[in-house]
Amino acid sequence: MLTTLKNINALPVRTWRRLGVNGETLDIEFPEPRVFPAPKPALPEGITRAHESVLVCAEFKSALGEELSAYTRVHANAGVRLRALKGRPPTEPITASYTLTAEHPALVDNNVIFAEAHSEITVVLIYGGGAGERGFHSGLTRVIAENCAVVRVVQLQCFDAGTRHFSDFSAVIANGARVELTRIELGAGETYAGCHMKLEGDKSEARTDTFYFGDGTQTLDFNYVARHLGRATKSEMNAAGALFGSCGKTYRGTIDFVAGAGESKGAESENTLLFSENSRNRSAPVILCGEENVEGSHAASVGRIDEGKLYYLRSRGLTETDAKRLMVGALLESAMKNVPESERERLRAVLGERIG
Amino acid sequence: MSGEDKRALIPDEPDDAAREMYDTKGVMKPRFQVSSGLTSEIVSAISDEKGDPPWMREFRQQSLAVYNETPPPDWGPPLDGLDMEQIITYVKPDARMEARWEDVPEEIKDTFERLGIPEAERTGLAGVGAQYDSEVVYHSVKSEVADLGVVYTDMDTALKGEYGEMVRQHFMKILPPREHRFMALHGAVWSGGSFVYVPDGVEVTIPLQSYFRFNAAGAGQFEHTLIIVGKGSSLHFIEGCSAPKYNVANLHAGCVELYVGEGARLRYSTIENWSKNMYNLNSKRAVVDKNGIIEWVSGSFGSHTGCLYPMSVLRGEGARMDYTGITFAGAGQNLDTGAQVVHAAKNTSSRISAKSISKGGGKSTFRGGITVAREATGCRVSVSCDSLMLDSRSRSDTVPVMDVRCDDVDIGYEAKIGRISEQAIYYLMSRGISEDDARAMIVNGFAEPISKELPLEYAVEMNNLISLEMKGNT
Repeated sequence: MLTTLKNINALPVRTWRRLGVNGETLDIEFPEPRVFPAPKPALPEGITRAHESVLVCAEFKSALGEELSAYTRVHANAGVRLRALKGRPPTEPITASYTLTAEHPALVDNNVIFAEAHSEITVVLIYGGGAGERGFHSGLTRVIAENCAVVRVVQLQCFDAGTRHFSDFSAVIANGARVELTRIELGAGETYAGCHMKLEGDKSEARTDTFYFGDGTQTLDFNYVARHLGRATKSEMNAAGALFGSCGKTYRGTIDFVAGAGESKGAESENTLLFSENSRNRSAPVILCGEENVEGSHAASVGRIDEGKLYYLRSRGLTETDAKRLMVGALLESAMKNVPESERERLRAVLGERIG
Repeated sequence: MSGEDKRALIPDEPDDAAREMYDTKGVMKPRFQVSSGLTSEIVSAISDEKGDPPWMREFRQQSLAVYNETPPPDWGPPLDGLDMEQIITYVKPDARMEARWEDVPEEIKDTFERLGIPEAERTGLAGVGAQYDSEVVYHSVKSEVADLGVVYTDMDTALKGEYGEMVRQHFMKILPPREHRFMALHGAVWSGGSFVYVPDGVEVTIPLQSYFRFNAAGAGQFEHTLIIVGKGSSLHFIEGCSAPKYNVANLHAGCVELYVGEGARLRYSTIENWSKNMYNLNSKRAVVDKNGIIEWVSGSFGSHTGCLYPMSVLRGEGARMDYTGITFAGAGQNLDTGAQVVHAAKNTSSRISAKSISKGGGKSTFRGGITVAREATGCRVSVSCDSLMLDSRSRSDTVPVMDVRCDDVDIGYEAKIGRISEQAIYYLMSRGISEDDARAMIVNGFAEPISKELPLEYAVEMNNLISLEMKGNT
């Protein structure tokens, strides 16, 4: 059934409609829910399976859109539910890998990560494969980080160009806890990704690193919000990417300092390299501030590769394509801090192939 | 309930006490005014009173139709307190338009003299226009400027005189009534304002100024400013405005249309100091031809609610826009200001430098819109936005958007938000300066990049306004 969803990736404050960043309206043909074959990851000591009910104590907000979030919760056919036990030392990353196929073209994964106080957990979610135009993914990851816990989530997406890909992330972060989200978006025909970091506890921290690559007629649409509620909280949002072909990218990043969030700091940066006169790049770096004693900053740069750098690289014998690979690859590297070594080479190869 | 009781009540704020210079109410009775509300009959009555030519009569009625079918904006500050049924859209003062200051009626003269307008004319202006409520009451231009072919007159004279066809060709062409609800309103009930025409190759070296004074309670002011600067010419135009405060909502929905010719340069400076019961929903737009330059210098201090985002359409190759603005939102104020630019041609460039200060529960928002069209290769954009929060009862938001449809661009954007450094205050206090003065000095320093862009007397006025707003900060 065709459903019309409004306010996908809605900007927290509306602005001129003609700029096209207030939020998207999409017609979505939701697939029939079928079991998705995904091996359950092995759990190291200190990590157990969690029940979704652990989330009832927190109020999550969806940056992607509440309707889509509700759909994913109700129709999930996959997902990991993890609980990091109190005070346990950090473990190896827990990896869940999903591949779309013609037989299983629709993935709806509902992921729950509950980190008890003073625990540490890293979760890697790998998405790939495809099923042409039938490819569909809607993922929701909700995180609770209790006092002084550390949670790292890495999402690596290399779906084929026919796939419609929705990714929603929401975290509630307690005193002294830290949540980091890494997103590498290298595939899919349409990507809509939201992230809402609720810095509820004092001295809580959030960080996002996003890399995107667009070509052909791809749509890349992001909406990130860091909401500072506790005192002395800290957020850092970094996004970088490259646009080829006639793709369109929209990046909304909002730092929201709520009254009472004194001594908090928020910083955001975006660096977009443009390689096509036909691409469209939209950025909306927003700061909302209801507290005096805070520091918020934004920086963005949009443009071609610096001619001087390109000339230098070519004078060292690199072809233009090699130079582009190098420059875009540098942006990818800057986002891969939390990506396991075993995955980095694969991502570099995928990117190199796309640019080539 | 009486008619007046239905109007939105605007509470007095503590800071208002120090504004007598602006708040002194005029005693003049209007010669004519329409009843409150907005109907076809009211619009016709304005046309009748002004003696509009047929095309303008029709234009007003068409604009009214657009207004009636256009919803209010779904973004920006709330406009709930603005009820058009309670707004009087046309108030004609009991005075004719005069070219000699001595001929202006005493009551009006007193008002402008308190504001220093004639003094400013004597000391450093090429021409002055003064509007009182809905109509211009004084206009003059120095003979040496007029001798160069520069036309500076009120819109009524231009509309009905030898420049009527030029007005018709340009009137609400770059800011049409369909632009938004308040432009449609403007098209229906506009009155007053200035017309400036600078012929090709003429440099006007001293500024022209129009000053808008609003005296009637519960009324609206809808002046129209149309400036055409010819090829290779230059002009500095200054706009000032003020009104006494009433406890009912007033509305200002002016329209400024600027045409900057090839290689021409226009600086448009505004010190906005409306009273704090004003809804200031003003629209300004410039189109700039090849190698032309538009410079906006803007200080927003007054109004209860303000929406002001001058747009520059850089349609000629090598055209340039420069925006320097400061907004000071105090108690009870919600000021939503910023700039918009459309890069529509090759090698165009723009620079936006915006500063805002929020204090005493005031809310300031910087809103920006940068659009780069596919044709605008080689364009450069630089946006910098600094916000200062003076307490935690206030708000300061920054909402810039960049929409880029071409790859050969160089765009840089940076924004910062923060408070006054305690260290800096401590340092100044250790040198014997009181805390209030130390804060005012720091805020004045913060505003310095804007004040240095203004002629000296206006920079002094702006610094006085900041000092006024800063009083009793600690």
